[in-house]
Formats: sequence, structure tokens, C-alpha cells
Amino acid sequence: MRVGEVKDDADPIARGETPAIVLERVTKRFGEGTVAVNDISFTVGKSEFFSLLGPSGCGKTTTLRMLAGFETPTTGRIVIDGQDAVTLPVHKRNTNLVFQNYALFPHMTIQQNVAFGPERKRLPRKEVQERVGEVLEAVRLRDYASRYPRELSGGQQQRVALARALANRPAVLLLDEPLGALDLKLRENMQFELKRIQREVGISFVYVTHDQGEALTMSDRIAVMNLGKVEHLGAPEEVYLRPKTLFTAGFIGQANLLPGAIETQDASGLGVRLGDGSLLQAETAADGCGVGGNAMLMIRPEHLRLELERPGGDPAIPVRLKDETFQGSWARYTAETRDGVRIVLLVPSDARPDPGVFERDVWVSCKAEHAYALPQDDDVDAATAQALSPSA
Amino acid sequence: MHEVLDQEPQVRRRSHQRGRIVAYVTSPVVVLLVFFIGPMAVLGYMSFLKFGIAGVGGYTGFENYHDVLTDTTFWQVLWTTFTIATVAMIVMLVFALPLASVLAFKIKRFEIQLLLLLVLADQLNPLIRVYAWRILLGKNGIINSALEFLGLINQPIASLLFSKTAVVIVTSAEYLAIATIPIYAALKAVDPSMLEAANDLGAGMFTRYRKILIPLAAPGIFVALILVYIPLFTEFLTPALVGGTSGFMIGNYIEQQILKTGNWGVGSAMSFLLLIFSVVFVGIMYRLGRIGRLQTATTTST
Repeated sequence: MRVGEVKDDADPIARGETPAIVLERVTKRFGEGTVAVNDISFTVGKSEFFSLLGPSGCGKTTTLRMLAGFETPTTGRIVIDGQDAVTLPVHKRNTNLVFQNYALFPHMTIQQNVAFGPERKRLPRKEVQERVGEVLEAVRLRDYASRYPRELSGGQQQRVALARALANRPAVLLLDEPLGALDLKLRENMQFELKRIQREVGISFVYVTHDQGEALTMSDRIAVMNLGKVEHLGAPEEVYLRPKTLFTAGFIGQANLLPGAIETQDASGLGVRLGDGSLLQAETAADGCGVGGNAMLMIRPEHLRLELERPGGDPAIPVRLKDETFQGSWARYTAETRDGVRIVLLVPSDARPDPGVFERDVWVSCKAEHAYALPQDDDVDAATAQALSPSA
Repeated sequence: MHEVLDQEPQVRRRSHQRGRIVAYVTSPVVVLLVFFIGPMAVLGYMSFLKFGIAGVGGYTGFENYHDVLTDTTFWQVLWTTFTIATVAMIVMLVFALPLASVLAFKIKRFEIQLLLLLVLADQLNPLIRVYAWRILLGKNGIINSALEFLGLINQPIASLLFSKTAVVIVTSAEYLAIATIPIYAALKAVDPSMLEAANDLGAGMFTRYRKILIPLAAPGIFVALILVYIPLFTEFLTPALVGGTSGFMIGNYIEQQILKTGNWGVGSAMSFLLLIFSVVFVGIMYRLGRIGRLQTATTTST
């Protein structure tokens, strides 16, 4: 990928198919002042796993609720499965929502819960039974059909909620942080389960989460949201490796953000002069980086190498190590540059230096292919990105 | 020596405590005996006495009960009472359920204030309330005038007042607040996302009530039934003021026996029979309520 070039291969319109969802310049205001969603547009392809990712209050849940029909956009257009959906009532939409707290009906058995949707469509009894069996099979809960929700574990309830929504065979399945209430191990299992089920049923999933790990693992594309806007929309690799904005860089994964000025730009990349005077090379950069401009250099903690002696060829930054956290296969160090920027680096456990290393100057280096430059725009609130990054 | 010294005050304290417990238990029993069981016993005693024009005629055994149970008017009035109370109860629930669900789920800002208003409206003197309804339902009342003005009727509906309908309207309005509050309390425990989920799965408003709201509000509805149905059944003031001859209820019949005919024996027997009906009713409701509670036990764990 060339410097600053961003191509959106997964965009359904670019591929020339009818999208499952089209959002066009949608804005949602609550009351007078608060703008929950601010002029966002995107399309979701058929059988695409699409994630809305962002911190709480970024507008992702409001966007999802507009798709489900629980909120009406103040302005803008929503098309679901080729049908104008802005004025379509909730119960007539071709979407189904998996609630964060599952919202299973406590007075009904699993069977009755899952049959609720198909029964509302007045399908013949036999077909209802078939569908219920089918989706319960898909979530591997067929043996639990006659139980009540309270008799199931959290993970099982979660799967029932999924089955109940799928039993309606929606064009789009909406998921509102469905794994939020599960413990870590179960959550990781369910991520694979969800992805498997999505591939099996072949419908598009719109998945709301604040967990970037979840979004990266499962999504075909991710829309990173902040303050009611889409900051970056792209495939997981792209969002992770070549974020368009400082916010995305800070929010997705751990990132060190080092401020500097762009001194050189050529075919091999950019040369960025950091605040402490050292010069680092970045092979790739986001749009808007040019010689003479200010930039933030983004380097992932696992890509920084700790050097006990000043390296000969590679550019390196002199730092002092501050503290160390042992994390199993990795040890996590925080360090400070001479001009006071805190950075985080990961060192393989078997390569940890002696404790004496805290007393003296050391260097960190980074290969040019692992450094990525972002334009430092005055309009962008760098403090936000800083607050999000682990080095702050 | 030490042990003896240690034990003594303990024993004394224990006997002191026992005296206190006895006092705690006996005082409510005495209150119940004097103010509740006492009058009932007097009533029970009178139901076995013969009352004639000449006054009290002595013990007659079960003759009064026999008279009441073979009195066709008693059964007719009882049937009228049953239909009025049941219809009023249904009408009330039709209003109380949406009212409770709006209070529990829709109102965000003045929920407590509106609830207080509902309770306050209930505290209004029943006599004044019934007279207010008489003004509304009268031949030249506001409802008739409004219907005439809208051209829906050509002449005032005379049967609005002094009829069964009038009793149903006034009594159902009278107990609306008492019926709404337990239902509201039950609905307050229901996760609102349950209704959104039902809506999302394709249920319109009516289905949401039928399949989700009513089953989950069941414990509250049972409490409302028990709280309201018995006073409805023994209603006396409202039928006397707006019931006319067709809205004549069992309470009025008893009043007639005692105050107009002076037959305290038959009146007491009727009261006792009514009491037995009430106990049976509460028993049935209690059993049904337990089933309801078992169902909702599943609610709270999610």
C-alpha cells in the first residue's frame, strides 16, 4: 500500500451489489443541544460482518437503534434491504436485534421464546417448529428447548437471544454489545461461534461494541466512531495498521504516539524529527502528511525494540525505563524520552534485561515499516488521542 | 460460685423477655377481639334471632339462613351484584393496565408526582365523587349534552343515570387508583427492553400487552383483584345514589332489610353469607396468585 492511499475493497457499492443497509447523511439530535449521531453515512453489504466500534457515548448504540427502528433519525435516509426504513415501524422491519441484556421472556420456555418471532409472522405451526429446531441446532441448544431462561447460564442465554433473533430470518441482524456480560473465556469462544453462525446463515451482521479486540477478530469492516461521527471505516487490518485519525490510532489497540516534524519525504517514506532531536523513518503515512508539517508517529508497543547499547545504523531514541510489568510471555515496560514523552514497549519474557537497566540510558529502535505517520492537525484534539493511548 | 453468679441475671432477663413477648402478642389480639371479632360475634348472634314487628322474638336456629337462601330476590340481587362487580372489574383493568404501563415505562419526568396525584384523587370523599358523576351522567348532564352537540344522539340517553351502566362506570372509576398501583409496582420490576424485544420480533401493541405485559404484571393484577373485587361486591353508596332500581346491589338489599324492614336477623344472615363468599373468593385468588408468583419467579432471575 502506497503512502496515504486508502482503498475500500469491501464496500458493497464498489463491488456493484445491492447493499443490505444504506445510511445517508444520518443525524440524530436528542432535545435541543445533544447531537448523538452527526451526519454519518455508510453501506453494509449482504452477508457482511460490520462493526460499529467506539467508546461509550460515541453514537454507536443510537445508530443501531435507528436501524432497529427504536429511534427516528432527525435528518437523513436509511434504506434496509432496498426498503426506505425511516418511517417503517419497528415490528415491520426486516431487522432483528440481539439485546445487550438478552431480554429473554422469563415466562416462556426457550422454545416459546424462539418461536415468538415466527409466530408473529403467522407462519404455519409446522414451519414455526422447523425454524425453531433449526436455529436452536445452529446455536447448539436443541436439548434445552423446554427449559426456562433462568435455568440457563449466561452464555446459553446469550445464544438463545441470538437464536430468537435469527428465527425471524432477518435481512440484517443487529447486535448490541452481545458479549458484554460474559466472562473473558466465554467471550472469546462466543466470538468464534458468532463468526461461524454468521457464515452459516449468510446474512449481514451489524455489531456494536466498545471492545476493539472483538471488532478486529470478527469484522469484515469496522466503522470507528467518536463524538457522533465515523472517524474511520475500513477492514480490520487497515484500521489497525493505517488509521486515518489520531483517535483511531489511539483507540484501536495500544499505540505510542510520538509528536514530531516531517523533514523528508521520498519513495522510501518519511523522516520525522522527534521532540528530543532524534530522527525516525516511517514507511507509511496517512493522508495529509507533507514536508514541513507536524506529525504524530504511531508505533505499536510490540514493534519497539529495546537496545542496551546505542545501535549503529538504525535510528534510535534514547530513553530511561520507568517500570516493568511481567505479563507472562511478554514483559511490558514504560519508558520516558528526554523531552518527557512516555512510551510503552513489550519485550519477550526470555529477553528481559537485568534489573540494573533502570539506572542508565537505553535506546529504543523501530523498523521503518512499523512506524506510521499521522498528520497532527490543530483541529484534531490531540489530547483525546493522548488520553486514549496507553502511554498517557 | 462464678457460674451461679453468671447464670442468675441471665435467667431473670429471660423471664423478663418472656413477659415482653406475651405483652407484644396479646395487645394486638385484644385489639382484634374488641374491634373486629366482637362486632362480628354480635352480628353472628343476631343472625340466629327472630326479628318481627313486635321486636326480638328469640332464638330461631338456621331459619334466617333458610329464609335468605330460598328468597329468589336475594339470588337475583346477588346475580346483579356479581355482574356489576365483574364488569366493573374488567372495565377497570382495561384502563388500569395501560395507565400503569404508561406510568412505569413512558413517563420519565413526573412519574412520582403523577403517582401521588393518583393517590390524592383516590382520597377524595366518595360521596362528593358520586355526586360529581351524577352531574356528568344526568339527563341534562355534560355527557349527554356533549353527545347531542356532536350529533351522535337525537335525545338524551335517560338510562345513563340510575342504571347498572351508571354503577359500573362510577365504581370502576372509583377504584381505578387502587387497582393501578399494584399493577404499576409489578410492571416497574419488568425490564423495558422486554417490550422492545417483543416489538422487534414483530409484535404490535396489542400482542405486546397480551403476550408480555399482562403475564409479567400477573402478580400485580392478582393483588388488584383482591383489593378491589370485595369492596366492589359489597358496594352500597354508589348503587344507592346512581343505581336506581336496576342497579340495586346486595349491599343495598342488606341495608333495606336492616334499616327499612327492621329485620336484623335476615340482614345479619345475608352479611354472613356474603362474608363466606368473600373468603371463598380470596381463597381462589390466593391459589391462582401462587401460580402467578411461581411464573414470575422466573422473571427476576434474568
